[in-house]
Amino acid sequence: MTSPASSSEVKYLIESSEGNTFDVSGAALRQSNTFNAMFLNIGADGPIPFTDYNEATLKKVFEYCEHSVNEENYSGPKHQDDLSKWDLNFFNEMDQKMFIDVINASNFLDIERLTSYCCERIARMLRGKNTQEMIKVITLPTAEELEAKQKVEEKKAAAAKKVAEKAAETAEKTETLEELPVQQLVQTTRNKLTRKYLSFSNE
Amino acid sequence: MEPTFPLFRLPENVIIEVIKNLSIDPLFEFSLISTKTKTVAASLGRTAHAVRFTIFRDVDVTVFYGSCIMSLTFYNDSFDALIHLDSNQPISAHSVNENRLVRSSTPFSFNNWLDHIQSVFCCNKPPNVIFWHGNERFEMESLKNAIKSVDHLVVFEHNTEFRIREVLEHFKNPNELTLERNPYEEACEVQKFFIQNYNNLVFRDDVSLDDILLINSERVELSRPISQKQFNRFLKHWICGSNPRLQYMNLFIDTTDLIRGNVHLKGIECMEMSEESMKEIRQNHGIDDNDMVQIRRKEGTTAVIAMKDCETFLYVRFYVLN
Repeated sequence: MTSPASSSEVKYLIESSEGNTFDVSGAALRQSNTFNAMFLNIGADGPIPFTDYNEATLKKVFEYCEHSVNEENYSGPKHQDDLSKWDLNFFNEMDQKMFIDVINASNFLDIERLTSYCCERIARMLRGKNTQEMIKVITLPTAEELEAKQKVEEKKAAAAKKVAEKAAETAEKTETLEELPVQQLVQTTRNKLTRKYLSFSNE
Repeated sequence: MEPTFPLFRLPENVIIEVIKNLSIDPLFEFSLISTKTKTVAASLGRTAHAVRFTIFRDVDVTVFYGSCIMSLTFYNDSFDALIHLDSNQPISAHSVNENRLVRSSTPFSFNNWLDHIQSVFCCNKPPNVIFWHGNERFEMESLKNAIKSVDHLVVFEHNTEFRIREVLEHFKNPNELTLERNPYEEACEVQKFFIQNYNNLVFRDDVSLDDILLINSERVELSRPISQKQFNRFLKHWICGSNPRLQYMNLFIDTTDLIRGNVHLKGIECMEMSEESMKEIRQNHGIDDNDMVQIRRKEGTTAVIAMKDCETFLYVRFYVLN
């Protein structure tokens, strides 16, 4: 159990798709707007289930967050040329599969800085290319791939629902907070996640 | 070999974040990949503040978005035959910024290109169209069918009188008109344009006092000098109620007829302006004219006449105050 008024020393347990758990500092987690919306004020009772993402991906994402803890506040996208050596190494050591997993996880966790840097990195692959060259780069999906994507989105929506339920469950157990605001927070979180993932499923 | 990246495996909000990083030309090329990319690109809501067609030997379509400009050229071949802008004929576009051909994934006609540009850059306003030297190469009816309506129509003096008349007949109701040359022999024909209620009228040929008194546009720019006497008469008519829609006019007064003296304000009841009022006019309109007087028409509307002496002529700006 963690304190709602968490400081950077507070650790949270994160659960991955494999069922493994690992620690992440509160300061790193606070870079995730999704986490802030769900758990920041009410704390988490037990591991936080981000079970749609594997351990390697989540560790990579939170490695970035841990590193960014002491950096100045995020002030919008930076050009790749302005990235630090550490940032460049961070991106360069990922293969494409890991990179895609990291973007998806970062997007789900709503980590603005990391998502933005990833997107800039992809945009860089498109700059200076004509339409035909872009088509080659972005490898347009087949109908089967589009169908598979929809299934993945549905699975993600289910996972998000599970996380929201966990947040709601935790909130109900939290005795230190007033009943009404917690219920409102949980309801808001549920609604937000449901909306977000219904929109993904409908793409 | 170029690296590949399965962009469409990412959620749509991430794809949108990716393309936010693209400037105007790559964004446009991205939008040409498929209907989906067109929709995603348009969803950014990058609204062009103007689209300009310049028609000379080829057709340039320029999109103005913030401080960015994208320019595509069509029909830049060396053939001399009359060109019908066939709405169904596939045509290639040449990017001026990138200096290369821009190809859509499916063949586009000229109309398809225009529709695509208007969709991606959220243009609801009709384009500005400039008819430059050499535009006779394009058949007028097909131009009209492709462009449809016009916001600001500019017809340069290099055109033949016949061509100018043809342009004016086909593009009848622009919001703004710039006409460099009067293509008509009869005064009453060009006066049809002075009577129209444009937002802005620029006329660069000779004008008579009758022409000026017919002006029904909000803003007017006249390039050819008129005489002091003509201006004086215009003011007297304005005081009595002429040109009720006029808000601003600039013109030149010929001051070479010095023998007659300074007569442009003769008989006009002018009110002197305080330095503060003059400063306000200068600041509001970004001018540095020193001489200003204020006049009042019978129903109470006032106007400021700002003048700048340019040796052989006076540059006059006429502001109606609300």
